[in-house]
Amino acid sequence: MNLDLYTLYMLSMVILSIAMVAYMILATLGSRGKREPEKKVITVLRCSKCGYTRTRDFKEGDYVGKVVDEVCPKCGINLVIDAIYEESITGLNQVLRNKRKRERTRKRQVARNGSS
Amino acid sequence: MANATSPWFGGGSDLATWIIAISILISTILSIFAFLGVAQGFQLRIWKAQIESKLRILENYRDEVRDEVRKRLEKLGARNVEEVLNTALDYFVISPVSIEPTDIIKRLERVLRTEEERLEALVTRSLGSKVDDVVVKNSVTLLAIANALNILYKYIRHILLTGIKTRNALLVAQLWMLLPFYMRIAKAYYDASKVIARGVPIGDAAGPLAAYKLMKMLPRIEGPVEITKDTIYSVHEYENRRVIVVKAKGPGSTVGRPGEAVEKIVETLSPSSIASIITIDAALKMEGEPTGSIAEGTGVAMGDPGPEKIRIERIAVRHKIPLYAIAIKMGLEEAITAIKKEIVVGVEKAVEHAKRLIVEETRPGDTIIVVGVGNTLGVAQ
Ligand SMILES: [Zn+2]
Repeated sequence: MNLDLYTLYMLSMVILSIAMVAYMILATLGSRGKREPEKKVITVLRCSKCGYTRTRDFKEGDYVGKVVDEVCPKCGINLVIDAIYEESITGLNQVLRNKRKRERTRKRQVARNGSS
Repeated sequence: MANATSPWFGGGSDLATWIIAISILISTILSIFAFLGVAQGFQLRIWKAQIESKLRILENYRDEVRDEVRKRLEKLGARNVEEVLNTALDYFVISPVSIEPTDIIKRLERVLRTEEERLEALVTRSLGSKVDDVVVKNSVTLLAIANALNILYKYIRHILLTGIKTRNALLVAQLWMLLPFYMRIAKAYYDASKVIARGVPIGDAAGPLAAYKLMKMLPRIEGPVEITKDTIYSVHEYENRRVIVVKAKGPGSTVGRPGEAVEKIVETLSPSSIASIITIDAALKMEGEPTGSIAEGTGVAMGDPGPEKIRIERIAVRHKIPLYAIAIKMGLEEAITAIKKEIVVGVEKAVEHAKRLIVEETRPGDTIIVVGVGNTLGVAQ
């Protein structure tokens, strides 16, 4: 073998520093990629007579206790907002949503590049 | 022999000697620098750069909230928007003299009420008289958030500049270490502004939401009546008892004056007939506790600076009324951003707990006051 003690020491130092730099870069990229889950505000509508409930997306102007225009399919009376809360979209929904969003931005970019 | 066969590894020993010599030289120079305080200067510069980048984020938060309020006010046809913003963003409250404690709570109440009334008047005057009360309340809350972000930004900038001017590395280091905590608060305020602008209830609405559920659940005898500014009560029947439910008047962003309301209710009714006062409020959870869990205790569950809380305590002492409290646990960010499903579930549990408490601790014929404490944004009655 051609390796003496000094070269061995040098080589191990070089390998160690490369490994450290690589780890740091990976760690930085990893933390940047992690995003907080997307959130969505839900409004729960309830029929005060029969207890029928239905959820839909929050609309500006909604508040708990408001009588809305939507009617109960069974009783025909107006529904009341029973609760409003925030839900995080996780799992498959999140994946699909992110994918759709990415596609949309890519299409927009393509369109912009094409027009300019 | 090795030199002849391998040009790379052959000169290895010579190269390594040089590298080691240079490393020793560099570390010697660095340790001399460290003694001279140069290293600290470098460190200070790194801290400064990092604090400055966070300050830019903070400034952004403040400007975005300010622009949001400006946009909203202009859309509603407000006049002198810039003037309103300038006054509200730098508005300050001087705390009362505390070395003379007599009446301090009255003085504090006066100061806080003046602030509230002044900011509301500022927005009302700018918008004209025809405007909806809910819009005024929400705008005032947004202005208060912009004010808090502005003060936080100015404070951090002040500490940084003072630290650099006086070359106080420790002051800058301390600021750098506390910064993640301040940024967490700033982010929560920033997120809160988005939610409040849309009229979505926040986590702190847990108390008023519990009061609302109770009002819907129990047969109503009387009300709702506005008993004092922004605060309503209604009378209900439950298991042959009279339950008076108190909450801030929704759906605008306000906490009302629950203390004054309870005081008035107890004093106008025959005082001996009040069997107990139950307060339901959002409470800061400890790290590790689940959001939306509930706990029962005693005292007045209320996060105000003191004036409202003390009114209930005093009236309870005067008439020997037991005080029960139900806390709905949540984190700091959760309390001021959009209400989570776990908290709504917690509210339902709190309502059931309050009903059980009424049955267990009072007798038929008694009158009980239940107060839903908190900001009632997005929750009506
Ligand atoms: Zn129905």
